[in-house]
Amino acid sequence: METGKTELRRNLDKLIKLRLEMPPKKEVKNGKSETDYFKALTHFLKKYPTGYLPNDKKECDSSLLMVSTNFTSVVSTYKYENTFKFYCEIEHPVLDEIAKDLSLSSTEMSEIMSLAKSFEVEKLEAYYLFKDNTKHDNLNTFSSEGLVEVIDKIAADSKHGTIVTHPAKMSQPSCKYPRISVDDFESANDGFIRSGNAASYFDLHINANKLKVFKFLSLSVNRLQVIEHIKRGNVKVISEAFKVEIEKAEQWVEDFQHCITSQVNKSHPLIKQVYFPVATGYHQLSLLTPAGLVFNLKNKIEWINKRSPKAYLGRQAQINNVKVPYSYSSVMNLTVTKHGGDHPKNISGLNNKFQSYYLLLSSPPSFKHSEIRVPKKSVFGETISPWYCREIFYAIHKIFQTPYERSPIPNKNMRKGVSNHIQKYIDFIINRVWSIRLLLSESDISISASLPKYQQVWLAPEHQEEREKTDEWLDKVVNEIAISFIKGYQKVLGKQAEKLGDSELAHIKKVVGENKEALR
Amino acid sequence: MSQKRLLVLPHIKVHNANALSSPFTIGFPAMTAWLGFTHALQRKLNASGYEELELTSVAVISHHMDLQTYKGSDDFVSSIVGTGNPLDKDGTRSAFIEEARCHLDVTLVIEYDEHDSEIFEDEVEAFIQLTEQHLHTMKLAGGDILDFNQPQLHFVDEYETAQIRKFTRSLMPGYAIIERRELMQESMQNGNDALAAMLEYLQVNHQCEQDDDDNITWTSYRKTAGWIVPIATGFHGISELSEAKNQRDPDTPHRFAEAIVTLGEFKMPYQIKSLDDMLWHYHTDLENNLYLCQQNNKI
Repeated sequence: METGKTELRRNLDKLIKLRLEMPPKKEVKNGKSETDYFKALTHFLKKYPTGYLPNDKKECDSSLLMVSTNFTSVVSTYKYENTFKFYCEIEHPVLDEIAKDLSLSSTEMSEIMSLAKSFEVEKLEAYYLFKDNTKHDNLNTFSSEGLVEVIDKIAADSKHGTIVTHPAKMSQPSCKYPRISVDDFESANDGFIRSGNAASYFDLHINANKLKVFKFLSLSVNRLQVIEHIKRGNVKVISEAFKVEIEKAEQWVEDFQHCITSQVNKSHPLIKQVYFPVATGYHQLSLLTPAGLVFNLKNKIEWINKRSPKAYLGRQAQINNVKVPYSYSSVMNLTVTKHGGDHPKNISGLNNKFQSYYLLLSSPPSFKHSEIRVPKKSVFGETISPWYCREIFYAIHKIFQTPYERSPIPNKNMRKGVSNHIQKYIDFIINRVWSIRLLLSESDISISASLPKYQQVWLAPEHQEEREKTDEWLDKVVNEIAISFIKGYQKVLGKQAEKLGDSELAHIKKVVGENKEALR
Repeated sequence: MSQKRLLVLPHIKVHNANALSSPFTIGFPAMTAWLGFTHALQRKLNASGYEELELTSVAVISHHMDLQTYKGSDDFVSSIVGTGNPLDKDGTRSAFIEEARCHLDVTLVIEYDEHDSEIFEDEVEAFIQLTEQHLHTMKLAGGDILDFNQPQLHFVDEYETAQIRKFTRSLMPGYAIIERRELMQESMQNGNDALAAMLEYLQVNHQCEQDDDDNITWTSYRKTAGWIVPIATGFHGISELSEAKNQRDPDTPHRFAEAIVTLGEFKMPYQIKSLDDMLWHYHTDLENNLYLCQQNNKI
């Protein structure tokens, strides 16, 4: 396999070689010519399927290009969000790279995008499923007889599976039960992630070698999944989409009934079962995983972190230190986990489709910081560096700069905003002070005699009693924190810092003073 | 009653606690684990002669958590450090489910109600000893209790700010977990689904500004201040109450359920103005199939 080229470019090169006797050329500098990819792409993309599935090789060709990805490596699973079609649909900035790769001008790219947009998206997954592992040039499953045979087998295999919403195997791979599917949850603004409060996907409990059933039931026809058509008995839609007689479609609908209705409300010893106290005693709860929600969360996180145009452009801008007029986001501290080890297909249809998912971190802040050092001359500047709090100072600077008020600490809301940022700074200091106290109490390090006396009382574990009983040292701490806040602001903002006067210092002191007991 | 009666279990060191408290989160054990432990302790104390004693709510203060995950130097995501135990009967490795664990140092503040029996008047020491004995036999959030400081009884007047301050300062250095479900509700009110609502508060937003000298500064911020985290706070029943084969206890009504997750915040106890702001209790809303742990002061 050639490396360095995107899958789209590789597939396009292959089609040009296979289908075109005279590859389109365009002249470049010095009388040399190169492949005119615009003409080639236009040629292939204009022949999109008229039915649900491609009718001939020409229609297959356009489908192949549409499902091509921007990756240089081979991708073995179909994910719409990775396809050329999807990039065109949302006008993703990655198209600039594709245009560069194919030497397309922006006008040419726009034309290609509008061709791609007119392509029906739901035909792509069907194309991908039925071509299966067949090499593009040897496709034959789209012929009517071949197709019927394939779907007959899928329908027969479906009897080995059960539609579920909470697959037991995501609790433990050996759990065969329960097999339950509940999808009539009501949404409510109760503030909980639970079934009903976000879109979910159906899942299928089935043998790994029969996962085509899941893929088939997941296909969309007329913006509704095949499983829904089957549940509603829409035989006409099925017969038209797969070009079969009504009787055949009816037979398929009947064959698939078993996997829809074969629920088993049996728990399993490997399922976690907990007691929950209720007014009348206890209820016993067998805990299951809402797979559809778990993988929906994955989709949402990947959109924020990777797929969205803002994430793509924002990251590039930050790396190249270029200004962009918008913000981008990232969900950090993720843990990736998966079920089924190297064989996610053994767990469920959805698990096989998504392979892994993310866990969001729920962790308290720590008082143990590797960078914490016991100060030698003063805790301010040594342990409590203003640079750790630069976000606070930038934020407060923004408030100070607000033009419609002359005073840096103006109206009620502004004052509240300022107070909140000062509070964050104090919280940071309290955390650091406790870190030093912990470090001193858990190690042989002793407090430096060069530290001002009030700081020794503040920090050293042996002064705990004095801290509780006296106030003199604490007044100094309050005063010094207020001063350190102003100095820190000036240091971080440099020349841009606003000049703060006595009233500002008084306000800062007031906020710090409100935390007096907490600083003890 | 303005006087709060509190049983404090200070600095419980827990080894290998369950850190996989829901299918969406990793880290601090679910609120159901803490209330479950409190409830189990109550049952033990009830059986040891304190029949009237009721442990009504609990606050959890984390002093330290050590999560057993691994992150390589170039990795954006962490992975779970699993142990692969137990092996199958024949000694082969079983089908592997990753199991996240953490080591904890926590203080539990348990509010209790004696129901007028005044059992502690003359027997505080005996009660403390009994509690210690029970703690040695118990598990907490699926982990082993390795050590703890001597339990204490406190009486704090809810209307005496000085008493509350003194008490909360005694819990330092630590972070109490409190519920911030109202943030999720606010976001859902604006049209977000529950997953988007949660991510809205957890994601970090990055934006840049250019000064007059063309220097570009990138800053990062979250939607709201505070150490906001996802936290599992209960269960959502997904089937009707009925008998199910293989249920552990055939005499207790059974149903299938899923964990529910909302937002919480870790706050240093000195920021807590009322003890009910950090105390959690059981609550059921069976009409909506919800089995919850929620704050005494409702949000």
